[in-house]
Amino acid sequence: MVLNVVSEVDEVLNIFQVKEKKHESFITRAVASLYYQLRILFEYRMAIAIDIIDITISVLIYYFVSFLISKQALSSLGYSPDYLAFAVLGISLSRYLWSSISRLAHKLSHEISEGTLESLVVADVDNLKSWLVGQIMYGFSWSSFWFVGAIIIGMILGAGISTNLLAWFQAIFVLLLTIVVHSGIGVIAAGMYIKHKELETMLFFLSVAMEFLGGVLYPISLLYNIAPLYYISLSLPFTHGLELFRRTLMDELPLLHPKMIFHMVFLIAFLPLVYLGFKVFNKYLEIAKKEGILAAY
Amino acid sequence: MRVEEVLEVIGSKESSSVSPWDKVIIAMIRRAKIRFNYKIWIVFDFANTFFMVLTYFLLAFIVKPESISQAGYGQSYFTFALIGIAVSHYVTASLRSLSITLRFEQFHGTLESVLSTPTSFIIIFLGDVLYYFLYSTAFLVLIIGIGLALNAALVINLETMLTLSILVILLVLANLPIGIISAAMVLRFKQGDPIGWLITWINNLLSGVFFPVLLLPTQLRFVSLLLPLTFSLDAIRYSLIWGANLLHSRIIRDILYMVIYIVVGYPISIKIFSIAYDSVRKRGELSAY
Amino acid sequence: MDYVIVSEDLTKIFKSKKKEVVAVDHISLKIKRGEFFGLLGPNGAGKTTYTKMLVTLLIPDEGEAWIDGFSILKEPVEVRKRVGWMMGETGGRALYWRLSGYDNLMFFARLQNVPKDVAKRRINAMIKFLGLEKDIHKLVMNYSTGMRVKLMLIRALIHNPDILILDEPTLGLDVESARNVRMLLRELVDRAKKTILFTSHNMQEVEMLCDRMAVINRGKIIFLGTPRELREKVANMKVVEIRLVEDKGVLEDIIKKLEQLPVVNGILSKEVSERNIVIRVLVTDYFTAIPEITSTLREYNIESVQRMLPTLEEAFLKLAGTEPRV
Repeated sequence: MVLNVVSEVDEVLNIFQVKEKKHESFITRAVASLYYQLRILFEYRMAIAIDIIDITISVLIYYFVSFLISKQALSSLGYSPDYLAFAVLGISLSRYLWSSISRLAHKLSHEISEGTLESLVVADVDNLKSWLVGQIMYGFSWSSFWFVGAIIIGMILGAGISTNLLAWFQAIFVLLLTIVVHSGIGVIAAGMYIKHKELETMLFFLSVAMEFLGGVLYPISLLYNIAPLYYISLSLPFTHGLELFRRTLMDELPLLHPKMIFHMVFLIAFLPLVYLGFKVFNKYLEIAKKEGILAAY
Repeated sequence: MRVEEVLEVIGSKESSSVSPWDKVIIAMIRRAKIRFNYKIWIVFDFANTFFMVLTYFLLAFIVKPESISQAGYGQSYFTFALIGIAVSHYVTASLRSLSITLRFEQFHGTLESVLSTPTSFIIIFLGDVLYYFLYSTAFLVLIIGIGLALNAALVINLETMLTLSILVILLVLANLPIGIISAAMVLRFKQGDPIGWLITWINNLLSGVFFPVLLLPTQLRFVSLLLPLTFSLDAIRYSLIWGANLLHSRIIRDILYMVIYIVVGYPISIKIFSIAYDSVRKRGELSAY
Repeated sequence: MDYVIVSEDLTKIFKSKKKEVVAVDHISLKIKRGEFFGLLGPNGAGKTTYTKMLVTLLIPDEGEAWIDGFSILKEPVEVRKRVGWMMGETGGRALYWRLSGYDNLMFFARLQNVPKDVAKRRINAMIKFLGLEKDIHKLVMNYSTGMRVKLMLIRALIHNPDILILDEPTLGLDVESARNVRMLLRELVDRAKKTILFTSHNMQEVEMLCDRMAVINRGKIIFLGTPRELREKVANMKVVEIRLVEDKGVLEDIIKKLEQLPVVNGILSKEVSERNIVIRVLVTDYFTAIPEITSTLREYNIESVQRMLPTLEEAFLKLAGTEPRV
């Protein structure tokens, strides 16, 4: 709901100014990229404290909103009558959406405008892939922090979230699948962004729209009230990931349950996007190197 | 062009000055131009608000109407939340705009540049605040527009609009002292904006933006009485939902609370800011990464 | 005497957890009306700290200063009205990068109480003179360093101040622009009777422009006088310049041989270009040094070995007590 503008500015850019050593593997460099990001994060302990309060307050708001919600209405739409669990699972998953899609393009624009990206690529093109994977991993860690925090606080406040180990294995599987699919979209977006800078704004818009259309805070069947949006919502992988995730942790439904299988098939259908993502990214990177527009500002 | 001509133009003696009000407007325009050059934030802000309104529109379908009517705000949760969202934009503007712009200018070195002129920083601040006020007003209009399109039960007439204008001005004035204090902290400690964030969150949670304050446990309800936003929201809701004007006893009560905030807030916050400003001028950190 | 910039024991100490740095150490200076004064020193000498105190952006820990009779401590607003300040830092911070050059100038002009039409006239004249016309409506973030420097200079002049405090005003400019700027500054002093205090680490520039100068190092003034006096003061530095027509491959050998000579006190500089080597050395006295150097280097193609006056740069190194070594 609120965006951490200031700490974004504060995330100073020294990350890649460390001299790259040669003969390091792709993985080592990806880990190094993650490490520098994390180090910056921990140097800003304030940012962590802010996140913890942010999580707590967000969950508390939905705790109180849940008193307003009619239990009958929620169960008539096919959910357990526990709005707090519903909302907590929604907001915790939506963090991954943000970090896997628009964050990459945003970071990319940051690095391009500061000229750090070009030096990274000049040293070695593989650096960029490591950078990319490092960024995805960093976004993943940050979202996981949010995810775990929100669920713990939600459960403390009495959200009906399953504690069944099997259900959790399934939930984590669904979570990983959702993240992988969306990272694919994120990488495509980042690739296109290298060439088409104007896309950044659209990406921001898209990730906010997707969060809304995925039904983070309300059951998507309510979208019937604005019919076209309902069908857009159904075509988004996030909607299905979230649905699977909620059904798993609220109702403990197995993946092969008739209510689940449709969503599962839909989500898996998006998997080739990951492969496509790296293809597109490489293609645009080649173009960028030829045309020399990595440092555009 | 020859150097003599340049000297003649620069050296032209003109007895002249620029009025403080003109400077406020100029500072406001510069802020607007800068912000609109970051299209991404504007788009994000609009998209976020737009979808938030839609979210609460949908959520209202599964809300028990009695939980709103018990608090005295009519039958529609959508209308209730709509006003909360519209008004909270002003709160962010008054609490956080100063610290955000100040941090930005300190970081980019323009703060020094501005302070090396004879114009007082209060004038520049006023320009910034004015920009954010107008920006929030654009949001208010947009949100009310979307709300009306989605059948929100708002009473819109000359009287309520006049009341609304006065109430939002008071709301901004009452919250600004906290914004000034948090700007002072940002200036001095060059860290994020802890106070601004904290108060924004506490406001979101406790002042009745998304749900009636009545739902809060008694102790927390007491804290909500310390927040100026609680009273602003109450007054604005009363006016827009029931058509009450400035002479309504409940609105008079709310206004009195805000006036207390204004009277107490400014001397304290300006004092704190001056201390921080002097300290930073001593430490040579007017521009600091 | 009419002094417009006066500082008395101006001192600034920066404290951090670990250490204290005396950035400006009891500097007392008096600059006359209509004087072109240069403050010369290496990076980190305290030039910028000193000028920031004069323009009231930094509060001194000790001492006091007056600009045109107004105290920087008690009457900062009066001081700011009278001073045009240019923060010379490469990269041009201090401007709004997301505004156009024109919007920046207009904004700062109005803050300096210049009405719109006057500001417009002044901006137009100066951008024409400095060759910024074409780009003035582009965002500053797309400017080169040189363009930003010009913009900051215009910003400092926009309110026609009597006193200009300019921090490295030509740093980052191309040769022609730097020449234009210097000409403008000199004319501002000569014709418009402005007073200029400018900092630089370019010796030649100071020599070319200034009536008087000070050399500052580690926060202290180590020389105060005219550029000519500075030269005289270091006239006892005996410098010999050796020119050879040789490939750069032999440079190291030559340096080694020179360093072993007792008459050579140190190597001041060495320049290598396409088959040409120029070495400047400090010697004890010319009469023994020149023949000795010539005979030591006889196996090389010597073009000339001759006595020279020290450059300001070399003089400065001597004043600062830094060992002249390359």
